[in-house]
Amino acid sequence: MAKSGSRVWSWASAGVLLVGGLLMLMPFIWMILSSFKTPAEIIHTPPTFWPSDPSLIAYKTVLTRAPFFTWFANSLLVAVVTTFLTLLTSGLAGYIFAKFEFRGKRFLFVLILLTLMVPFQVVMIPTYLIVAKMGLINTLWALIIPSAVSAFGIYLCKQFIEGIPTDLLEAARIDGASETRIFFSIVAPLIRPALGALGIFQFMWSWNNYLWPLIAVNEQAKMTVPLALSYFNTSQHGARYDLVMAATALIVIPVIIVFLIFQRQFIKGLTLTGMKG
Amino acid sequence: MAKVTLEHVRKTFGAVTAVADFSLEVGDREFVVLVGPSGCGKSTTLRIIAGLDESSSGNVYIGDRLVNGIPAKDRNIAMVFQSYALYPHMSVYNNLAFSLRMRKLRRAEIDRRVREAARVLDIEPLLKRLPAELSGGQKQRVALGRSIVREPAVFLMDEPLSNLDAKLRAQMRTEISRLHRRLETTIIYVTHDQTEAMTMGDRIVVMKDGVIQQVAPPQEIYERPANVFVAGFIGSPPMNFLRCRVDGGTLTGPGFSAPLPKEREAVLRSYQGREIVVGLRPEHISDDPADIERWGAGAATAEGQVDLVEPLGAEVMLYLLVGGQPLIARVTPRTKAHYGAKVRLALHLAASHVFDPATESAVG
Repeated sequence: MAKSGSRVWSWASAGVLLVGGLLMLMPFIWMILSSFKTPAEIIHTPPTFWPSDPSLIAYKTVLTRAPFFTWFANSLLVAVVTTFLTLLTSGLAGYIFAKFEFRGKRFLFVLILLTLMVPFQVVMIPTYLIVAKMGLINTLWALIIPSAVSAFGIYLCKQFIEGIPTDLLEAARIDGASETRIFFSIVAPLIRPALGALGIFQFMWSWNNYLWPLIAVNEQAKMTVPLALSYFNTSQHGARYDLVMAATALIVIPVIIVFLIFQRQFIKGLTLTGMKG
Repeated sequence: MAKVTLEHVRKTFGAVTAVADFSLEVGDREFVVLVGPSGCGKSTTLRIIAGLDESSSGNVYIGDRLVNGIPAKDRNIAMVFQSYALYPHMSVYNNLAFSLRMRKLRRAEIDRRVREAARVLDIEPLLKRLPAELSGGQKQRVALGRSIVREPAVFLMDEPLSNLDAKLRAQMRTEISRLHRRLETTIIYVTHDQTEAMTMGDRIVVMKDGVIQQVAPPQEIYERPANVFVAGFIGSPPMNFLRCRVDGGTLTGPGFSAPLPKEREAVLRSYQGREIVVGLRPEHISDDPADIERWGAGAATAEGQVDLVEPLGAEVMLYLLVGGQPLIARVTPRTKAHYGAKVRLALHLAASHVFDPATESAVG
């Protein structure tokens, strides 16, 4: 009796999870299917699920009538460089906070954590003014430099590095390794799950970032892909939802690829963060 | 290889003195063991020699070179940690080779040294494995190998066997001792295990609360301990301490009264009418009537009650109550003693140690 009860419970749980999963996937499925429809079919009432006459015209328009590859390349460059810089700065700062003692360390760390509480909207104007003074407005550096350091990343790396036995680092010092060498040869390989999780978060955030590029960049050649979506949605093209859907489908591809490559590190990093927390 | 000299080394952490006025000279190729209970300052002293911590005052020399302020990597030392400290993401080969790569040796030389160390330690089949795939004993050998490849002037070992089981510990003790003979190196070894200290060191440094209690070869420490602490720390089971009194020519202790033994008479007479502490090793307390005869005038007899019997195969430990005081005797397996039995004991007072009750130092 107890066994059949638990089997019913398993089936019920699986059913609920399946329905939940489908609900989460539905917007993506709708987006992909709509990218193969005509604008008229997209806004038709009642709406259709499957495209009645699937076509690649939207994709052709996105790729040929707009500098989509330039925007794609801009986004890729900004996301990759920002991610790399974030991993580097977070790892180094996390190492220092985790394994070194110096005056004011605690105060400095709390200060860094406090920045997590400040919404971007509060600092976006001062950030703009600083970037403008540096002469970087309308350049890709304007999108990279303000995001090169992450308080969350520093916190995450510090937590992981605290778990590395200090004996290991002392052994490396006795072996003749410099602090830089210790970081790259010993510490970084051991916090790979944390770096994997942080890298994915940072890449996705950078890839999807809309507000700051909207402010810092107004030249079409320097735009990133989130701005491209608004480009296709402006009055210049009318309400071309098919183009927006096709552009979105193309934009999502790199994020999916990154996640598929690093998913093991990502899940391990999230799990270990949860256990430590 | 090199000697190591510490001159009035002191280390404080805030108000706490971890090491107090430590002076010692370790000779070239000597195996010296720092032993003491947890918190006595032995690991701190080792870390100061290694350069991982700086002393608050005092000088450290490796060879004739003053190494105060010199980083660990430039002191020509190698260290084996209690936790082995193997790099978990590197193979055994790369663990051994790491320090040589830091010194920018040629690849061929690195390979030669790594394979030679692996051969000496019998870990050649393990070179491609990761540390997680090794047993405790294998990890210990790799940790030793990492030190050997460096060909340092001094080996420092911080309780390297404490994570091993008893059998493996005994096996590795002999291996380290053989390694010392083979490599003819200077070794400074830290342990809290007095068996390791006794079996491995050319000399033992017994420490307590940051202060050196005695420095001597193992047998001397065992036979002529400098004070109550050394006497009680070295030797397993520990020495028995009896509060006795000297009255005239008689020594009176818990459950016994006997003439002053000739071998200790001069010392004991200086405590006429006063209390003293008499130390007796467990092997100098016997329930065998033959020992009473053998020890003759240097023995006293007492009656005790058996509280616990611990058979260990080649010998038996009797936990006794004598005159209300607990004592431990090491007797032969032929003993007929059992729990609760009253036994007649011989106390070999001629082999006893005498300590001043106020200073706890050995006298005579």
